Amino acid sequence: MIPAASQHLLPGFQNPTLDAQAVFRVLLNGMSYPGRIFRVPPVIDTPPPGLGPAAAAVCLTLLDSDTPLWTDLDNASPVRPWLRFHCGCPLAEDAGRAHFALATEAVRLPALEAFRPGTDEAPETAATLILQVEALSAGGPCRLSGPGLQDDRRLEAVGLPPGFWDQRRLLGKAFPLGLEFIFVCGARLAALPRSTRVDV
Amino acid sequence: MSVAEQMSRRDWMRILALSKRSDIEAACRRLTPFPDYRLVRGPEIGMVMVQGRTGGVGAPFNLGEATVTRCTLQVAQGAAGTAYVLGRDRHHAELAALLDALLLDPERQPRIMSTVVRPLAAILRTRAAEQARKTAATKVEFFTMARGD
Repeated sequence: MIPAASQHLLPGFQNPTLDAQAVFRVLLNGMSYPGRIFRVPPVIDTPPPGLGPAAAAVCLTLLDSDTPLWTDLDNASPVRPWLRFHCGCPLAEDAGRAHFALATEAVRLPALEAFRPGTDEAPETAATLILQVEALSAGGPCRLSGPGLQDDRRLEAVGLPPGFWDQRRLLGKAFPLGLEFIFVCGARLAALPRSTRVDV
Repeated sequence: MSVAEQMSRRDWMRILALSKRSDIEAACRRLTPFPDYRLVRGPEIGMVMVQGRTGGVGAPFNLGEATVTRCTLQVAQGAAGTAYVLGRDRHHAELAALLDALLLDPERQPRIMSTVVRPLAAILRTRAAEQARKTAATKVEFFTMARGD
């Protein structure tokens, strides 16, 4: 009998170094221009079922064996072995220990206080949350302002859990502690660093 | 042949990694054409840190880095095979990974065992014995007088 775990392994980056650099550049741009929507280069032909091309590319770029990942995936999901194989990242059951979080359905994200916001001595140890949303567009009621934004920008992410923006606003009071968010949808992403203020 | 019959995946991966690529290719000529497969990762060249333990029991220490080529591939309607091979030979890693995947298939395993893996194991044994013989010929005995203190 062929071991089940070794079946149907899907490839990751075709060219790991250059592809990861290209995606990292998009992430840097995203963090520099909060809320602006960027297209992720088509570096992953066949993401595992449940993961969009942008989410898959961001995971392969950011995760490695030093970054415990919390995810909303159930144990049978094909994304789990794919991430374990290509990133080698440990999967954290406890959200409070995770350096990164991946919610393939953003609505399943637990309360934001479950994730670590860093400490006063080391605010950079905060978690980065990768949220796969149903739709991403410029517009809607969310008004973004702060560093990197000359004028207010609007960003609408559909499929966030209820009360998400209220929790995000409370988190803003803990600055410089906080969480970074990367919203992904299909082949696009928008980032929301902790320094950005969001008025709903 | 009871030992060879109990060969585990670890054993055949070791044999495929240690054998010369030319020996593997020669053995594979007796096989039917290989099925289609898709590369999942690699073949890619990297470094691994080789660790040792003093006397085999001490705390691990870093011995040094070694160049390793690895490859993982997925056979169509079959298993995924993996190979880690010392050195920079991408073809060797790919071929070893393909054979690993085919060996995981119970229908293909007996034939590949008899035409490829066991002959390669025999070549490795011969080579190890030859090396041991040459080394033994240079053996020097040191005699130390026991000091009476």
